[in-house]
Amino acid sequence: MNISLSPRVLFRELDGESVLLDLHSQQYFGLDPIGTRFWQLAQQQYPFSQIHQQLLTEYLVDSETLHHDLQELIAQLQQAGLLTVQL
Amino acid sequence: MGGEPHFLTSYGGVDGYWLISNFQTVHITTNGQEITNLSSTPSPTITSLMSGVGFILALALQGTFCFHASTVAINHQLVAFMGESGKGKSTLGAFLGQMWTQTGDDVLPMSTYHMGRLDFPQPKLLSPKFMELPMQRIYLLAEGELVQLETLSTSHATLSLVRHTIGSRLFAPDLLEQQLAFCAGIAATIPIKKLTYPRQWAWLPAVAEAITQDTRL
Repeated sequence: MNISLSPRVLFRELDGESVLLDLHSQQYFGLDPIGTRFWQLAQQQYPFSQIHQQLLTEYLVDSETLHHDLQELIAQLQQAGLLTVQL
Repeated sequence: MGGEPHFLTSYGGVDGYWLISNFQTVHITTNGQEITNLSSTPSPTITSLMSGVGFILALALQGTFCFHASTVAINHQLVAFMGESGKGKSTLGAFLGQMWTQTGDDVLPMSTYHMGRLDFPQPKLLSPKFMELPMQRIYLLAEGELVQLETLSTSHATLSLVRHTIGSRLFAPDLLEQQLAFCAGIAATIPIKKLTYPRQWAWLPAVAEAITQDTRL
C-alpha cells in the first residue's frame, strides 16, 4: 500500500504531537505522537509496510495492534481528504 | 456583524481582500494598512464591514490576530479567558474585575511583534496603560461539575487558539499558515490551561481562588 499526502495540508509538529491544517476546507486536526510519526514517515513516501516496521522499532506495541491502529488512522485521514491510498 | 445576521463572502489574493455583504464591497490591501469602501452609498452594512470583520482582517494581515477572550490584570500581568460567546468570559472577567482590574472584553488582539501584549486600543479596553502588560496565562473556559485546571499540551493549546481566532474563516491559505505559526508560538511560550467550573454565580469565588493560586506559581 502506498500513501500520498495531500499537498494542500500544512503539518506542524509541536512537542511530539502535531496539528494538520487542510488549506482547502480550513479544517484543523490533531495527531498524537504515533500519528505524528506516521505522518512524518509518510512525508518521506515510505510504503505502509515500511512505516509499520519502523514504528514497531520505535514503540512498545505488538504488530497486530499497530497494524489495526494504523489502518484506522489512515481511514480517518482518507475520509477527511488529507491523504489517498494506492493498493 | 453588529449583532445582526449577514451573508458575508471574502476573496483573498495578491491584490488584497474583498469583503462582500448585502451587495456592499470593502477592499483591504495586502498589508492590511488600508480599508476602502467600494460601494457608492454609505450604509450600516458598510460600517459593520469596515469596523468589524474588515478591521479584524486588516489587523491579521499586519500580524495581529484577534481572539475571543476577556482579560484581567493580576499583579501587573494579564490573564485571558478564552471562549465563544455565551461561555462566560465576560461574566467571569467582570466578577474578577472586582478583585483585580478588568482590562478588556470579548476581543483580545495579540501581535507577532509584541507577543502577549495588547498593541492597540480596542473598543472594550478600559485603559491604554494596560497595553504594555505581559500575558501570564490563557484559560480556556469549559463547563463542568467542579472547579478544575488542566494544562493543555502544546498541540491542544495551538488547536484551541486557532479555533478561537476571530475571522479566520475569511483567511486565504497564506494567512491561515501565518495564523497557525502564530498560535503555535503563543502555545509554546504562554501557559494555556483548561478552566472548568459550574456555570453558576455561587462558584465564581472558588474560581477566583483557583486562579489566584495558579497565578502565584
